[in-house]
Amino acid sequence: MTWLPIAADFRGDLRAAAESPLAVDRLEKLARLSQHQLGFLETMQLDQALRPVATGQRAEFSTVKLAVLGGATVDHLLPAIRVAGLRRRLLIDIHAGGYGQYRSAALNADSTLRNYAPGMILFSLTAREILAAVPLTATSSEADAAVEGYVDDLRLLWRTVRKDLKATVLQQTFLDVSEPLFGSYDRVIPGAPARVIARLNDRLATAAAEDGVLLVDIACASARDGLDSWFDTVRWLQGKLEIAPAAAPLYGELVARVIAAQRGLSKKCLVLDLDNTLWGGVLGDDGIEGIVLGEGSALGEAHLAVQRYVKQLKDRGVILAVCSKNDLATAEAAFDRHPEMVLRRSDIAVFVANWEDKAKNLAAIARQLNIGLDSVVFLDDSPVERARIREALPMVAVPELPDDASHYVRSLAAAGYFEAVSFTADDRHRAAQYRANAERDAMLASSGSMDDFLRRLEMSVVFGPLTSLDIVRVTQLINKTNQFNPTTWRCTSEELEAIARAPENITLTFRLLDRLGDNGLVSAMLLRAQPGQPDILDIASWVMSCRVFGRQLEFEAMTIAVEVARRRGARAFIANCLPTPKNRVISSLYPDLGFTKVDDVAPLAEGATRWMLNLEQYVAVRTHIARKTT
Amino acid sequence: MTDEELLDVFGRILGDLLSDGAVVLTMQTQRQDVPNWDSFAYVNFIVAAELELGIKFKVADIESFDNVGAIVAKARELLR
Amino acid sequence: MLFNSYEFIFAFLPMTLAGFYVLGSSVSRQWALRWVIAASLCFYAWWRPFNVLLIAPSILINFGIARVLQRLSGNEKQRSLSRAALLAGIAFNVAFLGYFKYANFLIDSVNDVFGTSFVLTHVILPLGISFITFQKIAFLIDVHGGRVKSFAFQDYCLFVLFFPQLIAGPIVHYREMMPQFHEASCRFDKDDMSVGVTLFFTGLFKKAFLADGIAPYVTGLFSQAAAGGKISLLEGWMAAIGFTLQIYFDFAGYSDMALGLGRLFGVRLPPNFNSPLRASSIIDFWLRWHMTLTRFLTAYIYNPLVLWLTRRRAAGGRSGFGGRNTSVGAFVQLLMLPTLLTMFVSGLWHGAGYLFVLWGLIHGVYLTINHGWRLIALRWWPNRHSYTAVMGPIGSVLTFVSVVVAMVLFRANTMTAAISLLKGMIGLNGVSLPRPIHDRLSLLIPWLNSMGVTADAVDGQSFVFLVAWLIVLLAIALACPNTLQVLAAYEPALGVKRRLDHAGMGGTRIEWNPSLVWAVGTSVVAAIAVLSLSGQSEFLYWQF
Repeated sequence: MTWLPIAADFRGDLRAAAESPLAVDRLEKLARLSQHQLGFLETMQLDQALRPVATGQRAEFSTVKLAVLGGATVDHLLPAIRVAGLRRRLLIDIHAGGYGQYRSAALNADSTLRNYAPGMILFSLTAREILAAVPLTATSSEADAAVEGYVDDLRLLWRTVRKDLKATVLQQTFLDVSEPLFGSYDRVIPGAPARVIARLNDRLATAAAEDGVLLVDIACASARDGLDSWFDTVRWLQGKLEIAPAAAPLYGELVARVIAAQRGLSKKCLVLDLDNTLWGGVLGDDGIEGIVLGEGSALGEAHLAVQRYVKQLKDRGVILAVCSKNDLATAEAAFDRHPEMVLRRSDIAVFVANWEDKAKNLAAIARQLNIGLDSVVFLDDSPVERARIREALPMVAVPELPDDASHYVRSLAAAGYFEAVSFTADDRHRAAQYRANAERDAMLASSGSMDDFLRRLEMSVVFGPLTSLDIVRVTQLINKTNQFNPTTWRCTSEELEAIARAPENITLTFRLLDRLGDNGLVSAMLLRAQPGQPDILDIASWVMSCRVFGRQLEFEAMTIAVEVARRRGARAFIANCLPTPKNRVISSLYPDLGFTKVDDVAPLAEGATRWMLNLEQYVAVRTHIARKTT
Repeated sequence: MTDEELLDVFGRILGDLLSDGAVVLTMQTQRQDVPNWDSFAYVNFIVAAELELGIKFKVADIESFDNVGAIVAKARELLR
Repeated sequence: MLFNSYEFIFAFLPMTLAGFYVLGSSVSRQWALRWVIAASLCFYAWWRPFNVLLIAPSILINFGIARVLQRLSGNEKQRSLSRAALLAGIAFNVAFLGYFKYANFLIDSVNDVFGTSFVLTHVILPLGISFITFQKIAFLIDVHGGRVKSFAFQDYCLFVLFFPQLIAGPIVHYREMMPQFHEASCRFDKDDMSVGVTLFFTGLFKKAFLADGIAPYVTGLFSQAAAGGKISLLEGWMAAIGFTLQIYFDFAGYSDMALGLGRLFGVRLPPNFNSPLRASSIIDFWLRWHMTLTRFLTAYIYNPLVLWLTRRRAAGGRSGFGGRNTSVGAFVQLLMLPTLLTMFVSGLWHGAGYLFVLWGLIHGVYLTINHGWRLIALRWWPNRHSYTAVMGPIGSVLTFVSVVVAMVLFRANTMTAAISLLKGMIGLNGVSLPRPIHDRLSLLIPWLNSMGVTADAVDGQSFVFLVAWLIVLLAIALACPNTLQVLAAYEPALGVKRRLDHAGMGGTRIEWNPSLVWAVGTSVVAAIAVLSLSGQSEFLYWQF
């Protein structure tokens, strides 16, 4: 795990954390310690120090209940999952199923798994079962049929747990620990183990995509790292450990990444240094002609590879920013004029080049993009800068880079900051959206007043009920949005589908367009009918992307919702507001919209408030947003 | 590495695994003498020892270790 | 001063604690710690103020040597100088201990062997000298080995003089105690207070009520043996088991009190006593009885000796110790001799007398047999499961009996008394019951007489009481969860925690928590303990 720094004094820090009297303080110290490179033993020690304080609700940490059902021994992997979760401020409580009993645990109505009621279930299986079912002499169709049958079995398990437990399913891909029988020819023989497992992983990916199951791809990791780092024969023979204990920390990382991605905790923005990161040499000293970039030298190729990878990240939906100690004009000129530059100025959403402290700049970048600093990754070749940012802004991810630029891409990629569980159209167009945002900001600066600006934007909203096409995007929105989110209610796509399908509920999605472009699906509202009172709707969830704050969309959206509801015969809305450290922006949302506070009901949680709106008395606020139906 | 150092290393590793401070081992100590040194802790112990010393024990050896002295002896042999 | 005395419980302890908390919260932590040092000196000087003058030079000299070692440590070139300083320090400490504790014994032995009659003026034995000495030796070795890197004079004084462990252990490592003092808040903490008070009074109860309760009966029987009386089978065993239980609860009580007192100051001392009579083997026994002494002897005498001998054998081309193919020579040289030597030292440490040394050697023999058995047993009985199932209980009984028999030597005042008791226990003095009881079993008298059971002049009432005490104490020692288990959730001793996912120390369902029920229970126990203080008491371990 080379992208993490090495702890200077692990034992000392661990002791300091373990002896801290306050549980919250201990948790913070342990979380800080988890951000370092940890070997197998250190992971176990950290986990032991973590266990006593990982129970109960903690303010800055989210809890996850994970069940791990294994086909082989998995107990040695659990500490690593917990520690990797802690690294992402997740407290993962794990229930491990009995050895090899994953089927009965999943299918049995009264198993301990059911009683545990996990939110996520990880199936960690080995390829031994499928290999036993396919003889060496099988034909292609027989092998395929066997693989299909096995995958169908798995799908039955997935469906059962999702239906009965409403849990998200994670499926681990299958490690190929088989030995070659023919040599290179194994790949051609349908019944050869290598081919069977390859086919299995392939079918698994398709099935998982169809069923909304998340993959934990250790097959790919083992191919990259080498099977020997992932599988130790002696451990298998000694105790049926499929995944080598030495690989446990990395395994935990992979699992925690997927869990975090599903909850919207992946990083969103990559901030790049320029000198010796995107090109070799220092621009200020060497000039545009002197920086090393491009074909012709190994170093130039290395930096070119960095740029290519970063560009692909952008295409994938990661926001790019630049933060460099340079003269702004010169730096931008390099982007425009250097013939070998792969990245263009238009790829960069926020370009900051000055001589000020990088920590201040990073904070400004995050503010401008309206994202939290905990969604930012900072790539810099200088150990001094990296250490500075780690200290000043501990929530920013700063990967440790090796001395040789050839390995930068590997370090960044291996860190898995941008793990994703979906790829939507919005992701594809994110860079363009941010560019349009920049233009909007320019427009705002040149406008006389806010009103003037909004008028010039010529905004229109496209709204409609939640369709199956939008499920993925809306799930993502609901799980990722923290600021405009009065209830911070999270859900899986299955739950969302269930709510949308119920006829007594109203679901609305809002898409905001303006003169400069399409902002995409930026808001969603779920109105659920109250049991026994079908004419009172509860605003179960209302999320809006931070990109479109201040455009009056919330007023227009409420007006639309009121109209739709009245047409359906509803009389009132009720809404709960649970304040969190992140959603302070909307603390006066409901009063501004004309809701009145309801005092006579017990609040749902500490500090929660309840609001009510009589639809007859709603006074629509005039906005600069026009309507467009789907 | 001398035998004392190996005993120290093993004691420290075992102490870390069992969160027991420093466990004092003798060459004759058997697994049953140390509280909580169960089979799970034993696997972890072997793994940690292998990682720390940069050696690999054979599967037959692991089964045959009767006491800590046997582990120390085998480790000395592998470190040569 | 002793823990089980009115002046300690009602005067010294409250004053020391009050001063500690007040100084800690209103003046500074350093002054609170200095107050503890001063109080510990008072505690030590209470019995005989002169003791302080005896112990002061030892502390200063040890500190000086430690400073020298600190400067020399880590420096490769001065390794031999460092080693010389260490040996000098150890020699000084051993000589110090030897003079005060063993001078008389040595003179007597020399007199016995050579028929001379040297006379030495009466040597005053400073309190707790054995414990203090071992603790200081461990400290010097730790500094030499670089395990302790920095220490101030005040820290050293606190470490050596801290009164909960000053007189009779546990033997604490510097690096176990000082980090806790460095981080202690030196203020009143209700968890520490409740756990500390519970531990202290539970310990006091064990000592003042349980140990002192059975003591008179045991003492009576041993005095009888010393006076030349013949002890019959039943009485012999009752005396032996009785004494074993007496010293058991003596030491258990003391250990609990030490833990409790340490905890009142916010410090967790290492555990020293863990239901040893439940041990399944003699090896296990020594990992439960006086755990810190075993730890000390293993780390500083046994291990270095075995390793040195193993290397010498290997250099000479001979095999080492291990597994099923151990040669007899390896067994003798690498196990039997080091074990006997270590237990010899242990016996000698416990007391200056032949019987103590013999007691130590006998345990050495026990341990040797235990290890030897382990080597060959599995050859003849390969199935581990059935072996444990059958041998487990047998081992526990064997261990119990061995310990009890050896304890006779520990307690008996003279060799003749010991032999007389042992003879009685094998049955050479016949079996008899006290006359009142014998007579009451009228129907069985003919059968008893035919078995050889006679009546004797032993007091029937004390017989019955002794039996009752034995039953009660055995039940407690063998069946009840011990203090460490009951309070595990609150880490009563260093490293003793409730295991979350492992089986734990024999798992117990009785768990202490600071609730009203437990408070009432503890108060009752404390009341009984304090009220039992008036009786005469033999604090067996304090004479070390």
